[in-house]
Parts: sequence; structure tokens; C-alpha cells
Amino acid sequence: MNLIEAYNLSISNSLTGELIVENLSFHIKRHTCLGIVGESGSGKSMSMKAILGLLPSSLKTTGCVRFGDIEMIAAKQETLRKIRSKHICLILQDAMTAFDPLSTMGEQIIETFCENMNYTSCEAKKVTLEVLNKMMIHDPLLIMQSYPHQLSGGMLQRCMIGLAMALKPEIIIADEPTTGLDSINQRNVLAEFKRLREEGMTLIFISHDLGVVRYLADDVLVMRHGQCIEYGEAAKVFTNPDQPYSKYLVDTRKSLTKVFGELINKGAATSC
Amino acid sequence: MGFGRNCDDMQRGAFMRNYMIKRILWILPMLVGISFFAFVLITLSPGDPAEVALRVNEIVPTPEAIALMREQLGLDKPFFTRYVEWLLAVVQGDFGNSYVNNKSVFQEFIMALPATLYLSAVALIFIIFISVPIGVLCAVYEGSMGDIFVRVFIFLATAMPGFWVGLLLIWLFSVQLGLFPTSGMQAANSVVLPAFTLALTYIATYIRLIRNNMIENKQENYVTYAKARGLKESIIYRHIFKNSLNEVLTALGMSIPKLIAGSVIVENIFAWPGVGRLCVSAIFNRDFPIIQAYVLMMAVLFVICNLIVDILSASLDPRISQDG
Repeated sequence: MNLIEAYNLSISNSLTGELIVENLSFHIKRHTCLGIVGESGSGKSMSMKAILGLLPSSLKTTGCVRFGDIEMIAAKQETLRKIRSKHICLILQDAMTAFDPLSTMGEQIIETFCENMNYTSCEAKKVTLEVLNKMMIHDPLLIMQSYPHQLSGGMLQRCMIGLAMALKPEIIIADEPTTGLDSINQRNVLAEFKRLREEGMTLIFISHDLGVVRYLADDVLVMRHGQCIEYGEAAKVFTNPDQPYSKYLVDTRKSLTKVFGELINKGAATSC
Repeated sequence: MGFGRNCDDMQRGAFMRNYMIKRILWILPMLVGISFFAFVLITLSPGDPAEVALRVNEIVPTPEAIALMREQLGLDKPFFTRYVEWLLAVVQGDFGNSYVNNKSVFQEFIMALPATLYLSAVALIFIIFISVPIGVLCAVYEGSMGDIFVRVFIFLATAMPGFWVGLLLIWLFSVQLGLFPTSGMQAANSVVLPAFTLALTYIATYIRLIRNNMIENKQENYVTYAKARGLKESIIYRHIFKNSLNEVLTALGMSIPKLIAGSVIVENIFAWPGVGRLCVSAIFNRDFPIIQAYVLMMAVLFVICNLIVDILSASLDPRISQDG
């Protein structure tokens, strides 16, 4: 059963008339993961924000996106607000700027729970501690009292993921969650997503890192310049891409990992 | 994570303390510099204070009388001697006597200061209670008819000079409508017109500052995420407002001494018996000790307000207090 179905999603700048995303169509089944890959500026994040009605008013969205019985593009802001978080959770790319710099992490996580789960602030606090514990964050009380700038990007990213998990949405959209993290944090964050997948969470995972998408996704959508280049099963796209651009992406990655592999092997050989 | 953070905090705290001590130590040389500068300017200005003092007291300024007066006022001494004597007296709390009526300058100020402080305080209340709600509403209803109307008002209010606005207000509210007295401070509502005149440009400035800051903050990533978290508009605007406030508070802190100093013109239009009027009449009478005391008082006010604003904004924004 398809959770989200998007037909001919287009985004244009109403001031300049420039077309940013063109006729994007995709769907996502329950308990699967859709990976969206493409270079920066290809319209990946923009499309996801458009679905949730998070684009500034100067950008015009057309097309049809169905979530259950609801048509998301034409929906009122209030309807969308109730879908956000409770049904579709977004994890943003830039964790360092995603939280209000003048409120503590505790305040922000608690207010989210109070708003969406109808908890009292006392219950919300308890849940927050549980969430942080589950995310393997040491000393959750200290984290709750901290301001965002006192925490590392990886820590903030894990708070966002933890929050998304605790809200128990039907879909989590993760917009390049590993960008801007060092490799150790990247690995931890990826492990969380893998766990989410294993728990049966439906996931849309946006990345320009093919390796990461291959690790998580069932289906892949390749985007370039706001257009869908290729859309299909991950295994097929990665082993036997139809389009020259997808092939180029996959080949580039192969040659990069090849160089890396050679270097590792060389290092191993010399150290012996 | 835990240890590193506490260590960092301690270091930053010490840095902040050093910074504050340095700031406070700098106040003294700054005040000496300002008062010296003011002394030079007054001495260079044309007009002999001895002669004016005689005329004001209705004595014919013959050369002998002027010479005697100069000696009495100490004006025959060299410039540096006069400055150092003045400075030493001020350190001991003695601001000298007025050239014109020989009253203690300190006493004159104590008499006039409450009126000015009262006027500025009422103006400040007008500024806060008018510009904050209107600024917030403009940001929330950006682009609406009301927003456009307010923007036209801001444009007009910043373009109109204070003395002219004051006269217009007197004409409309006192002469035509008879709602407020034209001048003085006898009636309870006499403060309304001068305070509003004083506040008007600031009201316009702060509406614009709050509105623009909030609109700028609306584009921030944390607002997108706050929306994605399903928060209500009212909670999101609370976050936006909090983040827009720091710059406003800094500007407001610096506006307080400006309000007090800026009351000079308003006090003269509305015949408000404050320090501004005292200073203007002192300037006309070449009454050096009063002018000198006024300049010093304003300098102290600016320096202290500046310091308080710095400390306040550091305590409001956790990022500043820790990054130094």
C-alpha cells in the first residue's frame, strides 16, 4: 500500500518564473525506504519541504501529493501542521541551526511532545529522558539543560532523530542527515537509521552519498536539475543503471572507492 | 562531552570577567578625555562669560567691572590651570557655582533632573508599549494593509523633525482640541505631548527594527524545523520574538541616554523645567560651569548605559557570554 503518492510535483519561483523542480512523480510503500540522490541544488530537499508546505510563499508548488485521503499541496496550513510531526516527521540537514539558539534543548524537545502527543510537561520530560537514553546520549539531563551551540552537530542530529522516533510518525523524511558530520558521527547516525528500518519505519532518505543510500534504500530516485533522471529499485539502479547520469554517478563512486581500497591495501602491505 | 564543556565554561567565564574589569577601568580616562574636549570647545566659543554675567545681572560692563568679574570667576588664570582646578573640584563632588546667579551647579541640576527623568521615563514607556506590539503585528501580518499603513507612518515619523512635530501636536491637541496644556508641567497630563514628541522617532525606529528582525528570523532554519515539529504559530512566533529581541534591547539601552540628552529641544518647546532647558539657557549666558557639568553628566550616562547594555545582552544570549 502506498503511503505517499506524488504526481507531477513542480516548484517554480513566482517572482522570476524559474522552474526549480519539474514533474516529479514517485510513491512510497509502507515499511520501505525511498532514497533520493542527486547533487546539491537538484531540488531534493525542496521537493520534500514542498510536500509539507514548508516552502516560502515566493515559491509556487503545483501537482498532486496524496497522503492517505489528504491532498497535501492544496491543504490548509492548519491541516498540514497536524500532519507534520504526528504523521510525517522531517529531519533537517543542518542540525547546528535547526534549533532555536536561545532555548535549551530540553525546552524545545518538551514543547514538541506537549504539542503533538498531548503530554503534560512532566510526562514530556520523562519521555525526553527516555528518548535521549535510547539514542545512547550520555548524561541526558546535562543535554536537556544545554543550549544548541554547546552541543556538537552529531549530538544535535541524534536529538532530532530521537525526537522523530519518539513521535512515532508514519513516515520519517531525513534530509541529508549525515552531511556536515565527521565520519564517526556519520556512522552512529547511520546505525540509528538502520535500526529504524529494521523496526519497520517508512523512510525517505535524501543524500548525495550513494553508499549511504545503497545501504538503506529499497527504491532510488535520481534527480538532476530538478528533474527525475531515474527511478526504480535500488539494486537495479546501482548495478545496472539505465541513464547515463546515474551510470556516471555509480561509476564515479566505484572509481573513488577503488582508489581508497588500493591505498588501504598498499598501507596494509607496507606495514606488514 | 561533560568535562570538556565545564572546563570551557570556566575559561570563558574568566575571560568575560577580565573583559568587564577592563571595560570599567576604561571609563575614567574616557570621562577625563570627554570633559577636556568639552572644556576646549567652550573656551574657544566666542563671547566673554564675564561680560554676559554682568549684563544678565544688569550691571554696566565697563572695562574695570569686566576685569573684576574675570578675576572673581577665575577666568584670568591660564586655560590648563582652570581645567585642572575644575577637574580636582569635580573629583571632590564640587561642580562650582553658576557664573550668572552664583548658585551651586550641583543644586541646580538636582532641581532640574527629576523633570527630565520623568519626561524620559514616560517617553520610554510610550516607546516600548507602542512599538513592540505594532512591530510584532507587522511581522506576523507581513504585507497586509495594516503593515503597509504602518510602513508609511514609519517613513513619515522618521522624516519629521522633533521640534516641528511638537509644534504640530500643540496646535492639534492643545489649541484646536484643548485636550492637553500647551506647556509647563503643572497639570497631570502635561507630560503626554512632550513625551510623545520625544518618543515619536524612536517609536518609528523600533517598529521597523522589531518588524525587520522578526521577518529576517522567519527565514531561519530553526523556524522551518519548528514548523516541521508541528508547533503552533503562536509558539513559533514566541521563538522568533525572543531571537529578535537582543538587538532591540541593545539599541533601546543606548536610546535611554539619547532620550535624556535629546530632551533639550522638546523641553524648550514645551517649557519643561528640566536639565535640557537649564543647559540651553546656560549656553546663551556663557555659563561655563553648568555647560561643563551637563556634558560630563551626559558622558557618564552614555558610558554607564553602554556598559549595562553589554552586560545585559551577554546575560540574555548564552552564546555571547561564552564566546566573549
